[in-house]
Amino acid sequence: MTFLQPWLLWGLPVILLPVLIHLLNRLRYRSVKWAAIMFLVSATRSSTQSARLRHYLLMACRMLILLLIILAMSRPLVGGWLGMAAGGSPDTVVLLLDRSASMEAVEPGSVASKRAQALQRFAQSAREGGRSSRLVLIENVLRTPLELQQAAALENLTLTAPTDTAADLPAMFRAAIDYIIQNKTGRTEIWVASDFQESNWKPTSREWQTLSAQLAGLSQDVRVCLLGFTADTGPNRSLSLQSLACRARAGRDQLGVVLDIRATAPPREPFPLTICLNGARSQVEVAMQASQFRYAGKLDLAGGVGAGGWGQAEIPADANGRDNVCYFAYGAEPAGRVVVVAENLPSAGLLRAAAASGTSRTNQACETMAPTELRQLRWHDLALLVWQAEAPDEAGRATLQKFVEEGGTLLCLPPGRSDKPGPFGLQWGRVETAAVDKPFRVASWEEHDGPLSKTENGANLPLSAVAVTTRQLFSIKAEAGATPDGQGVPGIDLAVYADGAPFLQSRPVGRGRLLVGTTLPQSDWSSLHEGTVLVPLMQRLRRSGSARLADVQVAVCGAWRPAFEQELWTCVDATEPKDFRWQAGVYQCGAKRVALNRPEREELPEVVDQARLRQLFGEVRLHFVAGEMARETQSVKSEVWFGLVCLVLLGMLVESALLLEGGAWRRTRERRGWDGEAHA
Amino acid sequence: MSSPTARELLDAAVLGRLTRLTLNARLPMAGSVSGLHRSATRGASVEFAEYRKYVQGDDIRHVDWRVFARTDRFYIKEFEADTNLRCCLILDISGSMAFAGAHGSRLDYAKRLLVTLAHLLVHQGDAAGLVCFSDGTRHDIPPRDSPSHLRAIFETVAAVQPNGTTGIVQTLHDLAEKIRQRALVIVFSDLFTPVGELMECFEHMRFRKHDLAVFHLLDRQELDFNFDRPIRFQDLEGNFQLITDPAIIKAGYQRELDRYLSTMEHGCREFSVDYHRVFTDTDYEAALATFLLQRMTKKQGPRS
Repeated sequence: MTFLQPWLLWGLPVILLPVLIHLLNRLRYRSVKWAAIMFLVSATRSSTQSARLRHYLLMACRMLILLLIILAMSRPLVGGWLGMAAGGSPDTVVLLLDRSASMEAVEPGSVASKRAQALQRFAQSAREGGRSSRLVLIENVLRTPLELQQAAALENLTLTAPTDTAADLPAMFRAAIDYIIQNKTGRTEIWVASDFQESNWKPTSREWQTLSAQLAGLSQDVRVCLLGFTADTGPNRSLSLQSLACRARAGRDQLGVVLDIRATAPPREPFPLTICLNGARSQVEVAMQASQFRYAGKLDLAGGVGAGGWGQAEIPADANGRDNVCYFAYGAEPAGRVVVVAENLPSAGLLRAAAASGTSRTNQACETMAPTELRQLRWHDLALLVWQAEAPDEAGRATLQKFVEEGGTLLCLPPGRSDKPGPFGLQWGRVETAAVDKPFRVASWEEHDGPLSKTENGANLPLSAVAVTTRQLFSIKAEAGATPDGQGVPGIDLAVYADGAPFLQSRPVGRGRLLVGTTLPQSDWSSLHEGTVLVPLMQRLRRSGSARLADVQVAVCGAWRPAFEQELWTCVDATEPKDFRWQAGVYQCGAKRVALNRPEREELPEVVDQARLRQLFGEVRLHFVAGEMARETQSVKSEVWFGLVCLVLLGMLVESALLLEGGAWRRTRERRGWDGEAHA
Repeated sequence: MSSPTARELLDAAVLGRLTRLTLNARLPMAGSVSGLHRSATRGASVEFAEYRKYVQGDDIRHVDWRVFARTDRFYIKEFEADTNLRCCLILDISGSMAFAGAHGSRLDYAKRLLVTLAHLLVHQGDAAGLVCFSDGTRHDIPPRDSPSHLRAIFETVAAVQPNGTTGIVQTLHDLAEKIRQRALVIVFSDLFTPVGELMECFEHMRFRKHDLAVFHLLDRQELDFNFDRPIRFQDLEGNFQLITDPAIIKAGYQRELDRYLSTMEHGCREFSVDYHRVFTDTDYEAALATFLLQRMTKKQGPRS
C-alpha cells in the first residue's frame, strides 16, 4: 500500500488519544464517601463485565475511527483485488496534445488532420468508456494544465486549435509530472497524442532519464498511453524562409530572399510560388526536379530599407495547410556591440575577432575592457557581453543583472583560477587537464536549436572535432540579488563532454540568458581557437543578443515573446485576429514589427520508433493505443479513501449504538416513575 | 459540619401545623390507659362493637335484657375500648447514615423526623421510646408519656453520632421479642442490608402484632449515580475502597438498585409494613404530613 500524502501518517499516534484520555481519567479520580457500597460491589461483580466490554468496544471503535480518518486523509493506493474492486477507471487522465504544425498533416483518405483525429478519438473513447475520470489537457504552447468538464469540449477549445509552433515533449511531460505531484491525482493515465516527430521528442535529451525516473518513482499508479499518428501523409510541399538580407546595389535597396521548398515526392507539374511584398504580388513558376528546391530572389524596395516593410511567400495547398506560407519583415538593422571583459585574457583578441568578423562588410564591432572599467560601459546598445573575471562590485552586479534580465546575453568563460566567484553565483572548480593524445571530447550537443544548432545548409558544427586539453567546471549557487528566474530555472546543457560534464550550459535569466563555457579558445586549453565552432557560436550569440535592439525581427512562432507582456501586438497580414503565441504571421506593435514563422524543424520527417520510445520511458508502463481506452486489469493501484470514509461513518453508527445502549436504564427508570417524590 | 442541637431539631412552626394531625395506629394497640387508639380488648366506650352469646362467668350487668325479652336468649353487648399506644422509635446511627448529599446529612434528616414524631406522640398522650443502633443497640429509652421523658429522648437523639456497621437485622429481631405488648414501631434507616434478611425481621415484627412503619431514607445522588470521572468510593461503614469508572458500572449499579427497591416494596407490601421511601432533598414536614395523613385513612384496619 502506498500513500499520496504519506506525511499525514505521522498523525497515527493520535489514535492512542482515547486510551490516553481513559488513563488520564483514571488517574485524576476523586474520593467520595459512599453508603450504598453493596450495590457497587454487586455491580462490579455481576454486570461490570458487559459494561466493561462495551466500554472497551467504545474505545476501540473510537480508535478505529481515528485510524480510518488518518488513513483516508493520507489517500492510500491499494493494489491487488482491493484495488480492482475500487474501480478500473483511472482517477485522472492527462492528455498531452501535440498541436505542432506537423500535426496538421492530413492522412490519405481522410479530411481531418492528425490533431483533429486525435481529439475525435480521445473524445469518443472517453464517451464510450463512460468514465468519471478527471480530464486534464496540457498542450505544447502554453503547457498549462487545464481541467475539462467533459472530453466532448476538447474539439471546440482554442487551446486545441492548430498552431504553427513546435512541440517540446520533455517539457510537456515535465508539466504533467508537476501537475500529478502537486494535485495528488491518484491513479493516472497520461495520454500523448503526437506524430512522434523526433525534433519534438528530442530522444537524445538527457532530460528523459530524469522524467522516466520521476514517473516510475511516483507513489500513484501512472501509465503512459501513446496515441500515435505516424502514417505517411499524402504528397506535401513545405515552404520555409532560409535567409533575408537587405543590400544596397547601384543606389537601390534590395531585399534578398532565400526560400526552401521541400517535397515528400517531387511534383510532376510546375506550381506557382507567390510572393507578396508590401501588398505587391508577384508569381514565379517552380518546377521541382528533386525533393528540395531553393529559390533565391531579389526584391526591389521602393521605399528603401529604412522605411521597413513586410511580405509573405505562398505555395498552393496540399496535405498540410500550415507549411505552405512563410512571412518576412525587414527594417534597419541595429548595430549590436560585443564587449569582452577580461582581467588578463590572451585569447581576448580571438574572441573579439570571432564576434566581429567581417567588419569590412558590416558595421559590427567588438571591444575589450578590464573589469575595473565596467562603469564606463555603454549598456543601451550592447548585444553580447563576454565575462572572464571575478564577480563585479555591488553596483556593477546590479547593472549586469539588469542587462541580462532585459534580454542581453552574457557568456562566462573560465578565469583559470577558483579562488574567487564569478557573476550570478558562479563558483568555478579546479582546473582539469587531459593528456594531449586523450583530450576531453564533446559527445553530444543541441543541434536543433540554439547557438550550436546546424548551419543553414544542414551541416553540424564540428564540435566533435574540438579537442579540449584544459577545462574548468563550475557550479551555480543562488546569490543575494539574483532573480528568482535565475535561481529556480535549471541550466540546460547545450553541449556535454563524454563524461557528462557540461561543455556549454545555458540558463534563462529574465528575458535574457546566461551561458557558461568550460574551456577557452587558447591553444593550451582547446582547439576552439581554430574558429570553426567559435565563430558561428559568437556570431549567433551576438545576433540573438541584438534581437532585443531591433525594431523588426523574423522569429520562430512559439519561441518568440514580446519584450514586455503589456505590449499589444496585432496581426497585419490578415483581417481576422491572430494570436502571436501560436499562429505564424506578421505582427506589429507601434514601430516594432515581427514576422513569425513555424519552426523549420517541423519539416523534418524523422520520427521516434516504438523501440526507442520504450527505451526512453524505461520502467514506466507504456501502452501504444490504437484509439480505444483499454480497461486496465492487472496490478491496478486505486485510491480507497471513499471506502475508508464509509467505514468511518459505519464506525460512528456503531459508537452511537453503544452509547445509546448505556442510556437504556435511565429511560426504563423514567418510564417506571422512580424519579418522582417519596414512594408510598 | 456539627450536628444540630435538640432545639434546632425541633421547629415550632412545623409542630404547630402538624399538631392538628394525629398519629394513628393501623392496628389495635394494647395500652395501659384510655387513649386515641383502638384497643385489642373490649371496653366501655360508647362505640358498639358486637353481640355475643353469654357464657358462664360473664358479668350479668353486660347482658342485653331487651334482646333476652325478644329472643329468650342471653346475649352480651360489647363496646370498643380506646387505649393509648406505645411507640418505639428506632434510629439507625450506623456509618452509612452519615452520607451527606447536596441537602445535608441523612442522619440529621432522620433526627428531625424522629423528634417531631416523638413530640406529637407524647402530646397526644401516647408513650414514646427510643432505640439507637448501629452494630448493636447504643441507646435504649423505654416508652413513656411524660414530657420530661421526651426531653431525655431529644437530648439523646441530638447527641448521637454515626458510627459502626449496620446491625439492623439483629436489632429488629431483638426488639420484636423485647417489646412485650403490641406497639407501634417506627424505623428510620437507609436499610442498606440484604432485603431477604430484612423481610425476616419485618415478618417477625408482624408476627408479634406490632404495627411497623419504615422511613427508608435515600439521597437523590444514590439513585442517579451521576459522576463524570473515575471515583474512589470509600465505604462509610468500613475501610473498603473501590476505584472505578462510574460510566462503566453505572448500568450495573442502577440495575442492582432497581432490583433491591423492587424487592423491598414487594416485601413490605406482603408483610403490611407501612413503607415510606423518603429522599433527603424533600421537606421533612411534607414527608411527615404524608405519613400522618395516610395513617389516618388506614385507621380502620382489621382487629388482629
